[in-house]
Amino acid sequence: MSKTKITPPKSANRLLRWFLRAELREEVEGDLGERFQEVVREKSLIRAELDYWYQVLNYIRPFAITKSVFPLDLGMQKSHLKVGWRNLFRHKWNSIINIGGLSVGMAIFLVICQYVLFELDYDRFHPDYQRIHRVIVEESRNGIASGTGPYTTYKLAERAKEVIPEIEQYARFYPSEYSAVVTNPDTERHFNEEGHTLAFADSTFFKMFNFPLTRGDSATALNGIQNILISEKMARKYFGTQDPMGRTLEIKGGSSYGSCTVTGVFKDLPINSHIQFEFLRPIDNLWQYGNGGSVKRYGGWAREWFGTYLLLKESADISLVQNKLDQLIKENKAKWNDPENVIEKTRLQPIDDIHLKSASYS
Amino acid sequence: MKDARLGEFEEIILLLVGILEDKAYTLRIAEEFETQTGKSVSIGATHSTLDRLCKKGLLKSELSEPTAVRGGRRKRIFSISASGERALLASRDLRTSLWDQYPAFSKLSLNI
Repeated sequence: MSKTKITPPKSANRLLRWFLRAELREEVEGDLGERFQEVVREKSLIRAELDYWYQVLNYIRPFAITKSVFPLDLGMQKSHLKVGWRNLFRHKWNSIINIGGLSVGMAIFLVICQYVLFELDYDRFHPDYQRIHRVIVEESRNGIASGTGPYTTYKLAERAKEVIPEIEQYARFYPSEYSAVVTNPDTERHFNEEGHTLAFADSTFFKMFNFPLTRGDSATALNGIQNILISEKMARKYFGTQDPMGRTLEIKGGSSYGSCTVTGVFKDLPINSHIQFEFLRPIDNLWQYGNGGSVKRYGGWAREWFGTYLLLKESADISLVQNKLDQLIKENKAKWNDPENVIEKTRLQPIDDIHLKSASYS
Repeated sequence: MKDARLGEFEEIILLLVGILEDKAYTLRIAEEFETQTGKSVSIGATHSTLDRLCKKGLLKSELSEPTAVRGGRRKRIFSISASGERALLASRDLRTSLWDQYPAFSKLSLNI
């Protein structure tokens, strides 16, 4: 009869024999074999083989496993553990101080780890953060260092993008120095907002930085000169549960006043970002109307107010780009710098260095 | 002795051993469990519980004569020990007593 030839899978049997206690082998193999033949008869060979594997794996239980699989004899260790445990209670105060001290120490260690990781993580949530640099200007007068800062002129980034091919993208950012009163004209809700929360940026800003919008299109939201983007927090503050899109905010005072149309709402910025703001307007607005028009009037090479961020190509040589930037400044600022014997040198600071390695300027 | 109170699975296994009498070996018990309760159980899980009940002294076991169906292998037949019977009775008494103490339950049984 062919029935005798159908046998359980050999590899499953080998596994079973390896871990199973010798004294259980006869009855278990008998039971599993009998079951196997039943399933073959009632269902199919495949089902029977799968079931056999299932049953074998289900025998991996402490009572059925032979000592040779885990040849460890814990007799002595068990005794030590017990003695140790009893000693803990015999010397209660010692134990409390020891264990408590260790726990507090470990807790503090973990808190410090959290803090350090948080600090090191600053500005790394932008997908291209390794290619984003901020321009630092180091100025010297008569050969003596006379100041270092992250502020550049308005025109530097524009010109640099034209003449330095390593620059893939630039974005200027200007947090205002002057506070302003912001009003929702429909409800007369108004608040005095701190200067640094009222910022201006290039339309490329959202391409370079990962600050997602919950409303509006990041590609076009900064295109109109009277557009304004606000944070979710400000949307709640000025419009409550109403839709802020297309609504008006009046800005009185500050760097640039006027009526603005809300064209986007961005997620509240992560705390570990060195760039912080609540309102964002096109930098063009500042250029045209800023400080009563004086930004434009005095030309784009005189006032050093703007944070300049450059997205460099993968292959860019940092020091070469710095030299090219130095050359640009030299050419365009000669009429102010040369008579004073001022030399400006640029340094490209990786964006994730800004928080921890910026000394006095941040 | 350890706590002699029975878990639900243990109690059912014990009862099945009693019902199956001389056919009470691991595979049959596991299959009987499936037909009686409609829940599936692996042979290994059943065996593990049988082993535990033996160690608690609620079951005893002996090997049968070899059978041809099993390729000449013997099987282990389980039977309830005296303390196993006591544990079952104690468990039933507890339940009965609880059922009796709540009048709504007895009404429930009358309605059937």
